Amino acid sequence: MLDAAVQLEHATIPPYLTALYSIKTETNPEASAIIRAVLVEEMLHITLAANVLNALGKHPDFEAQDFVPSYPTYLPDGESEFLVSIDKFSSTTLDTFLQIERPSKRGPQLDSELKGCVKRSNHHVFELKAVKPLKSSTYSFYSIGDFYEAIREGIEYLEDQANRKGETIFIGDPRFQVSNRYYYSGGGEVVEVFDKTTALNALELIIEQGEGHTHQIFNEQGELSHYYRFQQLKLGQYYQTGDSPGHPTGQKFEVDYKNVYPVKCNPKVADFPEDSELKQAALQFNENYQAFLTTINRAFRGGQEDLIGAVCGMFRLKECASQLIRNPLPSNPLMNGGPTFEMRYDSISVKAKSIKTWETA
Amino acid sequence: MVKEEYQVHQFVELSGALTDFNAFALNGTGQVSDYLQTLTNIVGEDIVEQLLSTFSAVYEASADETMFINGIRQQILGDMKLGPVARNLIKLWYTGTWYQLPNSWREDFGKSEQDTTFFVSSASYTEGLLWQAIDANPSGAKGPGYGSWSQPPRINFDNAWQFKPSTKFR
Repeated sequence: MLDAAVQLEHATIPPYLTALYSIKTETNPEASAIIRAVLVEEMLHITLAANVLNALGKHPDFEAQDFVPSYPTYLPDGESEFLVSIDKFSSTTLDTFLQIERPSKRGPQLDSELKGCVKRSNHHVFELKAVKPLKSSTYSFYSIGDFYEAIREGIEYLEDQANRKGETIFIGDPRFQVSNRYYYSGGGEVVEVFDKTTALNALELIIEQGEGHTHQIFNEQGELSHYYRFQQLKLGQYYQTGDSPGHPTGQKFEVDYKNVYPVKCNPKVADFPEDSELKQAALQFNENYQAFLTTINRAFRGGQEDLIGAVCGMFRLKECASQLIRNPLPSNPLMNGGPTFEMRYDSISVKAKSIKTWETA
Repeated sequence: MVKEEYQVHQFVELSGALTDFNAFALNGTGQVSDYLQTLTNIVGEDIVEQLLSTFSAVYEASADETMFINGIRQQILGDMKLGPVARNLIKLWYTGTWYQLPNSWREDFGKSEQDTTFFVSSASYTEGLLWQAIDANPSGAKGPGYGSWSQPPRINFDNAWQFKPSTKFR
């Protein structure tokens, strides 16, 4: 499930990133700041989930064939009533972001006996390997928080079982833990995971930052959870201490959906004309993104000093994505390009094929 | 193409010819409309119109690149009125700064109150083409991360502007 967690955290990044960069500079400062803050915390969550996975003696695989979803996509924790797209910042996009970060249902709101799960009449075919509770194919997690709660309970259960036999599930090499030394300060402190306590701390931080702690707007550090951060944009007003959910009383502001580049929803390289700069840039972006994921993969497999180079890579990716977003489609000037996040998993087979063709010739 | 779109198209091509960055690179800075607006505010609609129509006329009349370059040199950069404006546009694109026009020009063609030396916006500074030209990050902005300065610059000319003979602007 932690594999899916890393994948899940990553799956939110292309949509958040595209929405953020679609906002024209010097406009919508509130929306930009909020999306950026959430985006940076998602990167922290990837690191935390990867650290937990590494502590258990496994490793995340950022190069796996299905790691980057094809958008639009369902999220890999099993939510099936909304799709997540790569799109410009808009009211609809914001609604999706609220769905992604929604707080879990509690008590009588839940229509199943399984914790954190809701009953589904029909399960969609997920773009990503979906994680469903055992024994049931008709239940899935209602929120990301529920998903992490299940992971937390699983770890506690398995570690207790192991302890009874005088063993532990935390058998990972501590050198694989990514620390604050190389993590480019963003979104909070990285928790290095060595045992049950640190694992639960890491997961707790993800849950608190994401959906909020026990349904409070602010966590113990006074930090607003992702759902309520986004809700402020919906309501055009900031929360302040003492507010109740859904009723912010802080400073008001206006969100200007017009000052946004008209990015094509879920763009694909195939949408851009052959020989266009847009196509070249989109291919270049994807290639660089894939190289970036390879670097990240190394970083989470014992080479954390590679994160330094990866940060430079991130800034270059930002530049490239912004260029795509600011350029109109040659075929339809009313719509702009955007990063497509299409990874090439067939490069090896393509290479092999070209060699074969050459040999035959 | 509606008039406004046509003007933007002409402006991007003129800027491309003057800076040697193509439309993709110029659009990519997000500064096109701000710069056209800045230019119009300072030198006025008429001079902008004259600059753009001269550019289009030279472009359309040129059979090859040499003719085009000579035409731009003589009719725009060598022109008493248009030359300083075109040079200012080059500086604007490269640095994000509008530099006050020379005094002689101001005396001959009009002194706009807005014609002072200023950064168009904080974004215009970070989006200056000079940073792309030397593959460096603007000081104090667009931080490329710790140690990135130890890497050699990666300068390429993929997005250079190109003259395409027989192009019609309208």
